Amino acid sequence: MSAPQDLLLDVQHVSQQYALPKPSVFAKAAHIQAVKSVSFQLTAGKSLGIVGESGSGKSTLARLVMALEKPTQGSVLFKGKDLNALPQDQLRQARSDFQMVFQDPYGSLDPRQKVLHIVAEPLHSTLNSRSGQALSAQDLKDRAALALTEVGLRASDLDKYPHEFSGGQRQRIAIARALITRPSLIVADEPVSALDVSVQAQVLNLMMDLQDRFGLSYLFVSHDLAVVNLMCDDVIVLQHGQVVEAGSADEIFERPQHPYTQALLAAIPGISH
Amino acid sequence: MSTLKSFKHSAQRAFKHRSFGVGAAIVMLLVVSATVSLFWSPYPVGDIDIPNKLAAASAQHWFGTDSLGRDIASLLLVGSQNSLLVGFIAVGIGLGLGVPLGLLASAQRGWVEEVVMRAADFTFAFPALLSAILLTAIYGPGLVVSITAIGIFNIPVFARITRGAANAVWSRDFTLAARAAGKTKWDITWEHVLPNVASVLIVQATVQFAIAILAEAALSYLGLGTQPPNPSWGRMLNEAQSQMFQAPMLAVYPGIAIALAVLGLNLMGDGLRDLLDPRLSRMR
Amino acid sequence: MTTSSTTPLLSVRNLRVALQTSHGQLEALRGVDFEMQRGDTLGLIGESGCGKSLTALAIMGLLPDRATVSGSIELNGTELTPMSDEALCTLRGARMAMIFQEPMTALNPLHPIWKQIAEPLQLHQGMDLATAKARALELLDRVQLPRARERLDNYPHQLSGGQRQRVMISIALACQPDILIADEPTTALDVTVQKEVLALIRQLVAEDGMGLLLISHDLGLMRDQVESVMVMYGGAVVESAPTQELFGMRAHPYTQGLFAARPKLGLKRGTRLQTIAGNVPEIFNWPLGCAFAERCAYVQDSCRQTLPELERVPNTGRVKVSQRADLSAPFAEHWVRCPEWEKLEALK
Repeated sequence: MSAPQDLLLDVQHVSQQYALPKPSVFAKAAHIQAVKSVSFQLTAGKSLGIVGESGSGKSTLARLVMALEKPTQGSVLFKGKDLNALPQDQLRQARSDFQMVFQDPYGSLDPRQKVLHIVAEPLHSTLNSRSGQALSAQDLKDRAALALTEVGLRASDLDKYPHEFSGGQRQRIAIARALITRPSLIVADEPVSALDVSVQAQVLNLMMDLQDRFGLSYLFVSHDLAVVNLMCDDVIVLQHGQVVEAGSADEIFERPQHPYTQALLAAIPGISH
Repeated sequence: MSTLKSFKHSAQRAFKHRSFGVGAAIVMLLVVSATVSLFWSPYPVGDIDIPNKLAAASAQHWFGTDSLGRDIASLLLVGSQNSLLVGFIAVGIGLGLGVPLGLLASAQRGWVEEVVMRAADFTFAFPALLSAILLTAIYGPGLVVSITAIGIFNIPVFARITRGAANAVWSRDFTLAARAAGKTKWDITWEHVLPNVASVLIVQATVQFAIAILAEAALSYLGLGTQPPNPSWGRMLNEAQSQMFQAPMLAVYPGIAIALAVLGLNLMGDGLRDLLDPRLSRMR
Repeated sequence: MTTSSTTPLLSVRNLRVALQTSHGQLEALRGVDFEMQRGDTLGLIGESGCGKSLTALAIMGLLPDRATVSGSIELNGTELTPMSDEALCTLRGARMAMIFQEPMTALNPLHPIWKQIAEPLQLHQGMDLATAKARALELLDRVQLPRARERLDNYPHQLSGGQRQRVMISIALACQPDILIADEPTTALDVTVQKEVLALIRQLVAEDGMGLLLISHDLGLMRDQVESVMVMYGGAVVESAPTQELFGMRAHPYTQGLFAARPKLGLKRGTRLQTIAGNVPEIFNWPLGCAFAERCAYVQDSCRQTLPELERVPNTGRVKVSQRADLSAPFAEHWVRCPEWEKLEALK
């Protein structure tokens, strides 16, 4: 057990339910439990993988951790603070410390905005540490240019639009956006699932390099067990919104206990049966 | 520098597109006629010249004269002012009030969305022409009242379209990314949602413009729109009715003018739809 | 090498596809050759833009109007390229069938599933509605859709992804085609469902003795599903071999890169994956010669000028390949489109 101070993320018994559309005006709305009392912890500098298939609740869980949704029960503690109990402006400030990378490289960038605006977006509420004023346009541009070079793109790409880039490059832009506030945690929701194998390898290497360089922690959501094994120290396996197994990546993948985990491993194509 | 270049490139692409090119040309003709008529028309529209009534087209009267000897060419030119005015203001009302309502409904969801959409449905349910008649019965006929009536009907149109398009934008990950960056719903609506629905709205605006012109003509035909001595294409049609056998051309000219205006706007709208949308889908 | 006197099920010779784009007429497929007999299972692997889906669409005659096809495609001896769309319609769904990646969009959301399965039966076999509905039930049972009788009237949205894919398979197999083309059939499905659906396809193909052309980006999938694999890059086949042989030894630098880039279970945490330098070139940037030239560590000037010919890679005996005498040429053998492949081997 880690001491509370070292805990970057402490998710305690979060549940999330959604109301389904009512079949008629007077009928009661049915509910669907997307996440059922999920708990886990993440220490600074380590990475945690969330493994599950569609309907497992993994994307909902990612959004709950990012405080993009309020859980119906339970709490999400980031660096000891309950995110959902914070007043709005404090939450907004806190957001610079945890950022997200999404699955779809085509949908996660606004096609109408230039890369500069996209990458600099998380900085909109940041104040210049020296002057105490909002960041100037030049500051924003400099920091965005730096972020782009850190992900292997060029400063000249700031002036372009997303459609001028390939899928892998767009994902790099998304990573640059997530990185620009120097967060401690990056929640990555299937960040490489939509990419070709050779591009996936490049982006995964980048993510590992960035982790070493900036001491990032990843909450890595994926259905791809091999990728999770590569990137994460610890793993939780979700099925129908519940944690069916949790442990270190080595334990889970070498000695899976739960039948669902075993089924997932057995289903990987090409594994000699 | 690059924005100027890309605008020029876009403009070149736009005019090469058949529908847009033709439509824009017709609309420009309309705008030019209206502008010119502010300063000059072949004859003052008030000039009645009974001895020369129902004259055929000639060098002095390019389209002939009507039953009161007024020059038809001048009537058409000055009448275009009304048509354009109605179009601009009515669509302006629709955009100015309908779009924010649609954006509000989409951003807030829940009961706000319900209320806005039901109010829009309610307004739609009223037959437009009957409501215009109702308004003129209360406030008296005239250009202002007819513009107001037509404008009111544009509000639910734009509210609905905006909300539908905005919902589609909200479902995309980049709005989620903006929320993760700490932006408020209003920031996101202004910076992300509005630019992404703009193309749909522009296209709809051209369609609504054409409908507004038709609506004004209909109201004027019924005597509820622009009042004499201000010329109106719709009223010209009405007056031409009684002269159907003596001078059928009296109906043809304003008819063509209306049809041409509507055609030009529709073509422009079609062209814009092609030009603006594939850009977005080509981004894949 | 198998010499067969029977007409091959599918024979593709020098298939070229040119696309009309905003950058002019561009060659998207640069001469694909292969042959299949009934019962052959062939995999087509590659990344985005390599031309694998185009090959499938060209065979089915489903390319858009802005595409020009040249070369020869023969199905059971009939030349398909000059055929009109009406003539091709009699073959599609009847003799050659295709299943797609996204079952939700490939099925009509407004028709119950039995109706969609009955459609090819009515069209190609002139069945009446009642017989077709009965046959649809049989087909759904065959694809192991649970509670098929109750589900006949269901709409696509009432089924899960895996179930929809089973429906799509039953539509494809309704008229017992000679060849089934599956374009990324399980990419959109969960891995546990994927396993079941692939097993189903394997079973049905074997039972009916159909030819299977399976397109995927997943190497592991190929290992389980097909007897031979063709690797595509930049509109051309860069390597082809029996599956076991390919998994034992890769001759083309791109194939080697592709295999090396996969994350595998058992890699130590934080191991950097081997990547292929550079990016896949856009179609309007394809060089005259080998499309891989700019990313290749072994590139020669001649590679850049002309597309290399396919060369045979002799079986070195290092890899045990069960000799299947009935594998059609050229798939009993290992071919590579790289003049430097021997150097690569020597370097290992």
